[in-house]
Amino acid sequence: MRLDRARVVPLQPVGTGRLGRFEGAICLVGDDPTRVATAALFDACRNHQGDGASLIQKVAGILTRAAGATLPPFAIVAQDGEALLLAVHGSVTILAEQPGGPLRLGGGEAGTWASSRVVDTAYLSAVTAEGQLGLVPSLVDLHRGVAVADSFVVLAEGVSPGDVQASEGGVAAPAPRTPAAPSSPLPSSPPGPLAAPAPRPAPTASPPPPPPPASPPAPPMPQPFAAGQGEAEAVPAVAAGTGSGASLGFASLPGGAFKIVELRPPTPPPQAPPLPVAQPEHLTSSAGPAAGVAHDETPARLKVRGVHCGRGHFNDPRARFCAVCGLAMFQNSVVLSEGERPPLGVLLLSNGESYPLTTNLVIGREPFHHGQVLDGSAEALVPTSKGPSLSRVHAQIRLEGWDVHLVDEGSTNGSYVWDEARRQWIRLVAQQPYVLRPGDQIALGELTATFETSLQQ
Amino acid sequence: MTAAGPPGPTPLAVVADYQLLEPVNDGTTARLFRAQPPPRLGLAPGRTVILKLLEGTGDRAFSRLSRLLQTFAAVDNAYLVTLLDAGQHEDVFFYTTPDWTWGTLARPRAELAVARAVAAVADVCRAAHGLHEAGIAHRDISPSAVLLHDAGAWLGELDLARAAMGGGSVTSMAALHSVGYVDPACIRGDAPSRASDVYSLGATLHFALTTTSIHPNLPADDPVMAVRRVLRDAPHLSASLDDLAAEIISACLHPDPSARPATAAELASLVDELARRAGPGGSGGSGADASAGGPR
Repeated sequence: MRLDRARVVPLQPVGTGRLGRFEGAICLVGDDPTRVATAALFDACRNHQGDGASLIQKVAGILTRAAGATLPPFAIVAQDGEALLLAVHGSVTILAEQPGGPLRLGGGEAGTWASSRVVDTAYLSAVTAEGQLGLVPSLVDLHRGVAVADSFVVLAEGVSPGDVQASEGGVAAPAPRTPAAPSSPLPSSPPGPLAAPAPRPAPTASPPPPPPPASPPAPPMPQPFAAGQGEAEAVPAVAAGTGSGASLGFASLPGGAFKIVELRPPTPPPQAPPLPVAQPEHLTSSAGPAAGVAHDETPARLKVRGVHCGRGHFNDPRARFCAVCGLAMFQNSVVLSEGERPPLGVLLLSNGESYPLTTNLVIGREPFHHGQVLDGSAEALVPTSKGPSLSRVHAQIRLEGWDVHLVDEGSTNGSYVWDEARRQWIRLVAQQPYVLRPGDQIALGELTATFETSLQQ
Repeated sequence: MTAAGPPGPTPLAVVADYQLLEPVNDGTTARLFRAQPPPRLGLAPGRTVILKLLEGTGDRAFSRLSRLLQTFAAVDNAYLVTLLDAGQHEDVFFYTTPDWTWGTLARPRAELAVARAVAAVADVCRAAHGLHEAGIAHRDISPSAVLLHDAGAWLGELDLARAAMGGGSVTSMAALHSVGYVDPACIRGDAPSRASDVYSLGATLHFALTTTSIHPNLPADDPVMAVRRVLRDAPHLSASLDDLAAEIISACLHPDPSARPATAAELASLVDELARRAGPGGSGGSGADASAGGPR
């Protein structure tokens, strides 16, 4: 089998593992909360040059250096000439079809790790203790990058997903006449027999299951997400881990050209005027844009109709108390006037990022070409922790008057709002605005966030 | 009390023409390394630099970061850290500064007397004032941005991680260490300003005097809760502060920006007085742990 021409199908895209496909190597890593070992292994796969044996040696080095530490279970498949080298550690099992009979390689049985070489295989599978094999989707192929998965299947060129199907033994086996239901986890079942692939029509990929039930107090992730359909996370060139710079947690970058910034050009950048000094009447909501770095990041604020509190702060006409000073608004509630709309709240992402809601936002991995971003009516928001579950254009935050709307943009994995009363996530219908309330939790794929505001009190 | 000597010559990784020698912990999750600079910088042989990495940046971020660094480098202020070099290799943006002998206020490499810690805050107040006069708000001042050297302290560079992302997030996982030092009004969407930097300087001064945050016990593993608490809870001043220190810090943290010290230079003068008191023979700014300028 040639890995560069093979189809790699990630399975269990809601799991805790990560599957990486690199040039000449595939790596599945099981549950790894810190992702440090995952990064190290992916780093090794990404940067390795030469045959598969050298990669396996490099991985052995990682294992050696981690002596005493607990590494997550992992499986590596590496090209070695026309053969494949397999290596597993921990509770992962690889099953490979080969002419002399199926090969089963389990890291758990070997104590530390196990490796083997297969010469002529049409397909193989690997599964962690948390994973299981089910119907092999026909449309999924992880070309390159990283996807969430607890198991995967590799099909040689010319072998279609319809030719094989995962059995309860967790092995890519000839497809039965009728599609099998998702099977039980591998460790509870012995491997099933392998036979030559049998031609049959490709089964239709099963739709993603609904969001898992809630388990308070922490809401669950709302929705499994597809992987390998253009949603796979791009692998950064540098990842935390233990590459060649083991104790640094950083590997050398490949040699080649680099760009240098001319820090002090002959013509220095124009200097902005000094920042203004806050004046007594210069309250926070009317503070002008700061110069320098703040100039180009402070959008002009829209005018809306609202009410002023007794101290002159501009508020949502529905507010009972001033959002700035807390003064009761009863006596001002009927006097509407136009003023600059203050930030309508903050979007707090689960990773700690916070985005003040001063303008419309288009959220996604690559929202820069969205029409509203291009015409300037919205800003692009690319969360730092964007993952494969986030679509290129996933959702919008629209500021309508004093309200904040969440709108799903037809994303692959959906946009959700947590329904506290029903204790479950509610998936939004695409293009149907949902008015966010203070404290609402939302989920965009596996990215969760909370809407915070002091305006609607 | 002495700084570690020059690291060994064996590089562990290479970025552009720098040889990374060891990781540096400044109290944040930033990727910092002590590095051997290339000859093109013209530094004395054996001199090391601090190299900071921003990963996952592309051409979009490169131009933005370049512009920001040029603006920063154009500010002539002895209390600002000097930028030596910057560039991009693959999708990693890097820049270098002189090596900090003593670490940062957040993580000093040796015991730090209160008087010196407070004097370091006075230095960065002057640095912030220099930026403000050049039209720049720093907006990421925290103990981790106070870089200690033999003669005092420098204020670290601007919030480049935020700039790399094109604005947007006021806080981030990487900056969680500093969320307790950010003016809550900025988190809510107000533009960074002199007053918001003065707020951060006041919070940093509180740390210098007490080694505690004005938002103690923020959950390190729950960034959302940390930000929510900063937004909702009033700052907590240590009971160990003496009256003058408490008065200065309270003024810096006042919700009304106009009630704070008008400029960072004005605050520097007030902090100078605290440093003088905390010095040998002084009464100290913190009644509990600053007497006679003892080590922190």
